[in-house]
Amino acid sequence: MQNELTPELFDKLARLGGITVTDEERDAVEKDLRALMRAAGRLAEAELPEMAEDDAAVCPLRPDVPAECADFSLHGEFAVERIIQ
Amino acid sequence: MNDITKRSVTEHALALRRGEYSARELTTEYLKVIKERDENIGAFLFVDEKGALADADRADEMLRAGEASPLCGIPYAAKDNIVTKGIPTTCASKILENYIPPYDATVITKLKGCGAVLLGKTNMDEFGMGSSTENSAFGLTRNPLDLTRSPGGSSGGSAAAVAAGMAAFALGSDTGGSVRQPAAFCGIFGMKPTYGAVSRYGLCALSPSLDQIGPLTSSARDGARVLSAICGGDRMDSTSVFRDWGDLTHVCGTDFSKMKIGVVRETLDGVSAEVQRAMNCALKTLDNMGCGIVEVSIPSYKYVFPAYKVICSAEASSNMGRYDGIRYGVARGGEQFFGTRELLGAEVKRRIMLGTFVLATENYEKYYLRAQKVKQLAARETDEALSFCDVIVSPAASTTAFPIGKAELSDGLYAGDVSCMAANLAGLPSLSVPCSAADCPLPAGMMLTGKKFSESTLFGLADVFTEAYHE
Repeated sequence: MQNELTPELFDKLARLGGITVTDEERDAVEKDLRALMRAAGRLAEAELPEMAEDDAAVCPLRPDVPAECADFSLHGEFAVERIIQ
Repeated sequence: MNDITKRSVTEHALALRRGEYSARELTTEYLKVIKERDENIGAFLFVDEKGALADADRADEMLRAGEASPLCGIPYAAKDNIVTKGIPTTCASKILENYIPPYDATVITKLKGCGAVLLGKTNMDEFGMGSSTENSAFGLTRNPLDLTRSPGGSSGGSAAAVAAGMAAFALGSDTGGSVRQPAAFCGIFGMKPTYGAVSRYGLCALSPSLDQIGPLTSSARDGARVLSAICGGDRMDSTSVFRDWGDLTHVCGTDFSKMKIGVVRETLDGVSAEVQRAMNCALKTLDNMGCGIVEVSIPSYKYVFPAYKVICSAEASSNMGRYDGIRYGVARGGEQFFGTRELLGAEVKRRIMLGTFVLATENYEKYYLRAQKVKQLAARETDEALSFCDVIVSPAASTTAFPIGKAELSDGLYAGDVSCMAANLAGLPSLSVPCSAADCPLPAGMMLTGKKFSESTLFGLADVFTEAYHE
């Protein structure tokens, strides 16, 4: 996926995100999305110290649990509780 | 404002025990203030008058039976992203309009157990996405200190409710400063506890690796009381921590003159003149108290903003998948999924699109993985800074409350929240304490950040500092 926010990329992101952007909203969304992408771009260019990949994927208080497992378990509980009820 | 609603939680607790007034009388007073003031402020999305009075009657029974909890009979408000059984929970979004949860969040259950009285649900930026409470689908909230200004966000309704005397305390949620920045704008105390300190079961997730529920109160001691009641491990939230918390108020009023205070070099610039003056004044007070002031450096701060934006947008865009008209959300029209999601606001759409962008296979390593590395780096560097001092001090927001309509979604606005975001990335407890420049009518916030689980120290220092600051 390219980094410049072309009309094609904009439409693709909206489609993948499952949202429809109206003509009235489009200018404002484009402007802010460009600012956010610039900020994300600074991160891509950042010179970070060498770190093991594992370091980047742990829950802050539960180093034994991968972040995705720990963090997203909550969603399941939120949804399952509703079904049970 | 009615005099009775100016009192602190601690004062109410004493008065209720002495029989100066009942929980029903107290609740009636708060409901009266809500009726008088909220039309102009817009802090509440839903006021549960009937439920509050029923809660109050139960509290009166508990008090008569000698119930010991200091929160028994105390009226409070909860941010509208914390689920409440039988009471609408909308996250300030049209997509959840009329959604009534079938269960209570753990924090609500705990407060019910204490006998606290839920007055209603407060306004917020839609799904917590924003820092002005202007991104609510149901209208904005105004700052009670100046109605032309924002109360901050996303927990702006909760902060405004406490500052206006419409609730004795309130619950908010903080992903990158959403409790602390509104607390600073409204001149009250706001705590983002250690990651894992408070169960998030029943909190509608924005960014689960960063989200925490925290109290907004009119004093540090009140904050300690509320946090004591809601913190602790919960088997329904696998990230919550089981440990003995005890009473977090126990250090309030003790001697903090030997504390070493670290001022983060990277946060000294880039704040408004009013905030700079307020911070100087606050640091002078800490110095007069006998605390040692040292300068510390956290170089990764320069990457905190983009890392936060990437992590938050990525997780938020994943979370929003459940609002599809089948699991959650109103089913609309022939094209169910897209028809339903048309109800999402512009800021939510922006974050979904950015999240989709950074999570794309070819971008994942470049953005999301690097953001996770910055998160770990920020945690390490902050831990290192905290080895030279007991508490880190920084501004809770780079400006005082901005005028309504001026919260443009620019790099500048987000940059002001960097020190708040850093505490979320590092998972550390962080408390916004009101302070102000002598010539500025609006308050600023001094933020105290400590080691993991040092909440009682932060509340204790804030308590002593506030007393010294007003002398």
